[in-house]
Order: sequence, then C-alpha cells, then structure tokens
Amino acid sequence: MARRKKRSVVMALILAALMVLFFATTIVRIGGNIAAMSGG
Amino acid sequence: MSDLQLNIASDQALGGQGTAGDYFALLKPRVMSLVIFTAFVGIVAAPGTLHPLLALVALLAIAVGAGASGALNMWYDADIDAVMRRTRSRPVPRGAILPGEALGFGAFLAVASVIALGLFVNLVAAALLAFTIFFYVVIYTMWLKRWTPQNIVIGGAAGALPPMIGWAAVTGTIDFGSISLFLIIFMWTPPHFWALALFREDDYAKAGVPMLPNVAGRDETRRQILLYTLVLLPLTFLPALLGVSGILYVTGVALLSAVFLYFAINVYRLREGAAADPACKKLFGFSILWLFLVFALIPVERLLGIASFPSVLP
Repeated sequence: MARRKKRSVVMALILAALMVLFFATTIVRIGGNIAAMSGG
Repeated sequence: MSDLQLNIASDQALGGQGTAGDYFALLKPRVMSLVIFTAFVGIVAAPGTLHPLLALVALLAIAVGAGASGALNMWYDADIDAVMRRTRSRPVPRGAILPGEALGFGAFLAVASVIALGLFVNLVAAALLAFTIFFYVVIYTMWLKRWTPQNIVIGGAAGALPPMIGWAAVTGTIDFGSISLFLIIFMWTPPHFWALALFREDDYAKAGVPMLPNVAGRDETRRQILLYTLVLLPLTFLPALLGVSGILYVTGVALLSAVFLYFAINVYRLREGAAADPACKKLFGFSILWLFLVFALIPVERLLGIASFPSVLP
C-alpha cells in the first residue's frame, strides 16, 4: 500500500512539473507578448 | 490457502506491484544519460540557436523516447534477460513489473515523446525520434538481435541517431555535419560491444543471442574490432572537415584515438592467458570514456569561443 502511495505521489509530481514546463513552452512558442496582443 | 494469501497472489497476477524506481529502471537510465549527452552535443554543434526552454523540452522528449525504447526492449527481451547474468535483475524478469505493464508504459512514452517533440520543437526532429524508436524496437530488438551476429552493427544506428535529432531540433534539417556525428557513434558501437561480448561470451551463448564471438569465433571478433577501429578513427575527424569543430577537437581526438588504437591492438594481440580478458575490459571501459570525451570537445570549443574550421563542402 505504501509503495503504491509513493508511486502515485511521484506520478503526480511528474505530471505537475510537465504541466508547468508545457505551459511555459507554449508561451515561448506563441511569443512572450501574448497577453498584450489584441483579439482583432 | 487463506483469503489474505489469495488476495496477495491475485494482486501480483494483476500487476501494479512495481515501484517508481522499478519503472525508472525500465527506462535504462545509463543508456538514457548517453543519449541525453550526445543529443545535447547535437544541439550545441548545430548552426543557429534554440530557445533554452525549447532545448530543454527537446532533450526531455529525446530522453523519454530513448527510455520508451528501453522499456519496449525489456518487454520483448524478458526471456533473454532472465537467462543473462548482466540482465536478470531487471524489473520484468525479476517479476516486479509484468510484461504487459512494460509494454503499455513503453508504448505510451514512445507516442507521448514523439508528439511532444513534434508540437513543441519541429516535425523533422519528431520524425527522427519516431524512426529511432522504431529502429531500436522493431529492427534491432525484434529482428536483428536474435537472428544475426551483425545485430549490433546495424542496430547501432538507433544509438547513433540522438545527435542528429538534437541537431534537427535546432535547424529542422538533416545535414552533413549531423551525419558526421551519427557516423562516429555508428562505427564506435561494434568495437565497443564486441569488446564486451568477448568477456561475456558465455552469457550471450546461454541466452542464444548470436554475438560475433560465439558465431564467428574469438579470433575473428578481435580482427573485426581492429578493422572497425581503423575505419572509426579517421571518421572522427569528419566534423572538423565539415565545419562543425576546430583545432582543440582535432588535437584532442588525435590523442584520444591513439589510445583507442593502442587498446584495440592489445585486444588483437593478447589472445591467450591472463592478459586476454583484461585487454577486452580495458578497451570496453576506455571506449565509453573515448566517446564521451570526443563529443565533449565540441561544447568545450563553443564555451571557449574556439572557431570551427571552414567546411570543405561548398
């Protein structure tokens, strides 16, 4: 049981790190000034 | 048998027993570290620049792709791994991870790494990564490894591709410069693995893997090691001719290659007695250091601002 819990925690941490990394990468790919771009 | 024992037995049959460490071992971390390093050199050697974050994602995707190949290899080769001394404590033959779990884990990571590289970096790099995984798993593991003593000669292409993927991550192309890095690892693989096979011959024979020493004999293997070394060493200067490296690389490679040749000649010469096995072990050990240092010379040149020679190509 403890082994499974530890494995789940590791998996959650990896997924969280990937989420941050992919978010930052998306911002880099789109361009840093995305927030300032107008919709029109 | 009590209910508790029955539950434990059925739990093991269903899988889910592997720890995070077991799954990490499934990725062949030592192979992965060499892949990360050579891909990094490909990124540094390529003309042009890549945003550091994109370079990090590229390296991560290449590493995970290589790890996926390792997991799929361990799924398919569980029968061989269980027989060989060097591999019998791997997670699948040990029973920590079921073959089906290794297959699912490897297949998922393979697809995810190729998609991530394609979406975040470029399609050429992603296509090369997909080809590398396919080549290692299908061509090498499923076909060549159990069929021909040339297994590691042709299969070595998979291990030689990471610097080309790193290069393509920057340029989006396949160039002569990146092919020269590929060729170095490709020609390095046979003397490296045959030196290992010479002192682990009985292990491979027991598992029924047709390595050169147990098919063509030890003397022929020694001759082939020397021949491949004689082809490899001149090839090592190709990056300098193609405008990828400069004077430090050429000097360093000349010195390192002289030592490599010395060890290869020793393997060829020392065939009997107490010195024979140590000669093979020395070549095997030095070949790893040689590859690391040869590739490290390129980023060191960039760091020191040493200019590359002009390419001989127009």
